[in-house]
Amino acid sequence: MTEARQSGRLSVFAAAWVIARRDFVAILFSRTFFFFLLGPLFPVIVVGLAGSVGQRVDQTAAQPEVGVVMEGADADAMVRARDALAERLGSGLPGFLVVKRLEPGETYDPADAFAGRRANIAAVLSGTPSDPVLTGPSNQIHAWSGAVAMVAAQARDGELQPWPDVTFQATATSNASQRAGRLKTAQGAQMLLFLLTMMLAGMVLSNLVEEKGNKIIEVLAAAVPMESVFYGKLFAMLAVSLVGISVWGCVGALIYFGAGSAFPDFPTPAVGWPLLFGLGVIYFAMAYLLLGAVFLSIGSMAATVREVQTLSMPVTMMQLMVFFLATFAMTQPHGGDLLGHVPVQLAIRDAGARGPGSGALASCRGVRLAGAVRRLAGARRLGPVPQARDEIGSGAYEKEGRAWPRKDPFRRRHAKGRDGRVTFWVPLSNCIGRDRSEIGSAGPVSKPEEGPIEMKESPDGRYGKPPEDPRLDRRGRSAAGAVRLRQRRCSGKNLSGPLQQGGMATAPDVRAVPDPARSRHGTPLFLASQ
Amino acid sequence: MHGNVSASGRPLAIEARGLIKRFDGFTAVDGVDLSVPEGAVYGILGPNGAGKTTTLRMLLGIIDPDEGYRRVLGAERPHDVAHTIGYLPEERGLYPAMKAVDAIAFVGALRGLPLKEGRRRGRELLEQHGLGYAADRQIRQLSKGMAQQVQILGTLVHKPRLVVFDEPFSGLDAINQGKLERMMRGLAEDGTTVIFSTHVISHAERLCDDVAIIAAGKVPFAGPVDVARDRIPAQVRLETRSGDGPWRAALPADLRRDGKSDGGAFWYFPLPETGIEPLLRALIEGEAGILSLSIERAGLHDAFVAIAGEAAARALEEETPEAIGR
Repeated sequence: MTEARQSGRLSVFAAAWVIARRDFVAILFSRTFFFFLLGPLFPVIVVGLAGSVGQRVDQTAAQPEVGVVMEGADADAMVRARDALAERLGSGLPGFLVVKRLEPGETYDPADAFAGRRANIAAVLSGTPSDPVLTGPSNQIHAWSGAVAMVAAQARDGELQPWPDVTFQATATSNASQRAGRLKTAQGAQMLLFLLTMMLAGMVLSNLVEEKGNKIIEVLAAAVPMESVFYGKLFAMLAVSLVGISVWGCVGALIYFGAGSAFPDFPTPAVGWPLLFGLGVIYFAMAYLLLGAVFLSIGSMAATVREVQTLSMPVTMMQLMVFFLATFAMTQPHGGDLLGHVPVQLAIRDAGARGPGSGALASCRGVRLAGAVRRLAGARRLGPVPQARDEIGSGAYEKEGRAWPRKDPFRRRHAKGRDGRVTFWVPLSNCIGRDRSEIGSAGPVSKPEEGPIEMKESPDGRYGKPPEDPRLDRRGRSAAGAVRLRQRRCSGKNLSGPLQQGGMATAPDVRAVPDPARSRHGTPLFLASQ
Repeated sequence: MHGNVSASGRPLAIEARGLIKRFDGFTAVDGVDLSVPEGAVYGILGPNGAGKTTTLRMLLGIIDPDEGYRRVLGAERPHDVAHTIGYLPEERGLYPAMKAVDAIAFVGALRGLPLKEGRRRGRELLEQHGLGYAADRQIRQLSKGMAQQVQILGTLVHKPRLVVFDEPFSGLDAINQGKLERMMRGLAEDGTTVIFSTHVISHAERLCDDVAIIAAGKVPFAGPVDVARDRIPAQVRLETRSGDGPWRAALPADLRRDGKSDGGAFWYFPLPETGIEPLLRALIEGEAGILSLSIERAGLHDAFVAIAGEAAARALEEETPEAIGR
């Protein structure tokens, strides 16, 4: 012991650096990293196989049809009308199969048509073209009600009216297709983040459990604070994953430049590719730090692999739930804001602080760190942000106490300009079937502009006016409050015929009648009639 | 240096008062007091489950005591002086894929030694201990004993002022046990405080200046080995040519006699408080015919039995019957 001592006390972060450096090198030169690099291939293969199998199943599965039980002439008229419309509309219409041609005056219970199971009949159409009755499971008859009404209208009116030729002007893309493409890009990015985060958090956990099994943890715990051990392990795996992402990026770039024009053209995300990648890395890092900290906390509490599996299952389930919430939030650009602020980190922090040992405390600090950086990164979402609200008008505004009632049925927002004029926004879905004066008069607007709402195209197509039904209130709720009919949404393609013939008002309305015989789980089914 | 000093006047490397640790209602350590002087070789002696490892873990800051007070090298938070402490845990652990020299350097790095310097010292230590050829081998390629030696060297690579070994001799063959004993003595000669736990009394007897006997979480004795031995009076073994005579009056009453075929006898009795000289004079004057006389001081094992009780001693013997040197 003649040499002078050269060691000095390590700070928490210096000790974490020692741990992280060792872990980083050890993992990078292990087989684990090789399989980590191959990781993204597995979901691609699985998704490809699943898609292929699903397509094959769809192709081979028989398509459900509408059974027709009408008088002979009506049945023939319905089938003719269906076939005529199908030529123009493509595969959007269900197949019609004549189950029974009734004699004049003959009665027939539509429910009997299901008993024979002669064909793949999902609903039975009876009555007349002017008064069609659709019998079947509620979800099926509601899905087909528009199509059946359109066919019935055509059958009633007889000869198919000539449709105007549509002049095509092709563009590279449209708002709708661009939005759909962006949504797919966002979904892909989200899926990648989810898989990557899960994989890495699992690797951190198994790494810690392995060290507990090897008894190395005691050497570490005696030398450095446990916080350092957790920080080191967490950030080492993060660094490993960033190396992996860089490798994937390089390989992807090589393939992209090597394939040239043969490479499929992915839709550009709303924020652009560079920002998407940048935000993706930041979001991944935050998500991984959050989840990794939780998994490390679990690892610190578990003594055996079995305990680890048991304890980590709720967290995995929770993460799946978060994944689904995120998927939902992606389609709810404004409602999703709330989901982005769920204080998961607070709950985990509390759980960590009450857990045994400093490991949980370290995890809690990791979580807090992750939460802080996540907050710094902001609440912006990856991928496209579809426009769900639209300006419907503006007018003079007089404030009467609160701007809007607390439970505003229209969910209105407003902004006052420098010129004193106020602009209103209302969710498009709340505008359906209403005019501007109706919306304006429900709140403190004294001089609303008159006239019908000029609705702009929504991301998902046009919105049709819901059927008038005296039993339904303005929010689509029935008087009994038990049944809520959704506003029907039709694509422009399906609407073109009826609109040509005078619009939706010419189509027979659908009436819902419960059919207990075909009810599942006590859910009432409905018969449509006039 | 650190405020408190031992009875011998040396400053204390470790001072613990009333340490208590409970696990799920079970009290593993129940009011342990320790005073380890700097530069001493200090043994913590007790059967498995007595609380040795828990005590060491508390001293090192791996776990915190539920009650009590500890001061290690002047610091109340052991991690504050971690760079001056070396620790060999009972359950050895090294990264299997690491090279021996890297493993040593890594343990040094955890204690604040630069990695490059750790590698240099690691090679040096491996050469010194005859393991130079294994420096670049992975730990998984080494035998269990060799891996253990590598870990011991890792404990020392940063030249600590306090070294804590938990059951250091388990898993080592006799030759390597001897090497380790010499190494521990060398460390103490260099001024390093060595504290180790063991359930093998012979190691403690050979190495330690001071011991703490621990049983059922309590420390019934802590102090110099000689003081522990002195708890039991020395035994006198006397062989006489004559089996009886007036000299017998000089012998104490609580003796044991084994007769010999030639009329002589063996006598066993505790050393009188007056010392051996008056007894010797009486035997000579009484013409007892002394053939041999020896004074046998009590061993640490006997002291352990007397202090910790028969049950603890039996537990100790059951763990390593062949290793107890008596």
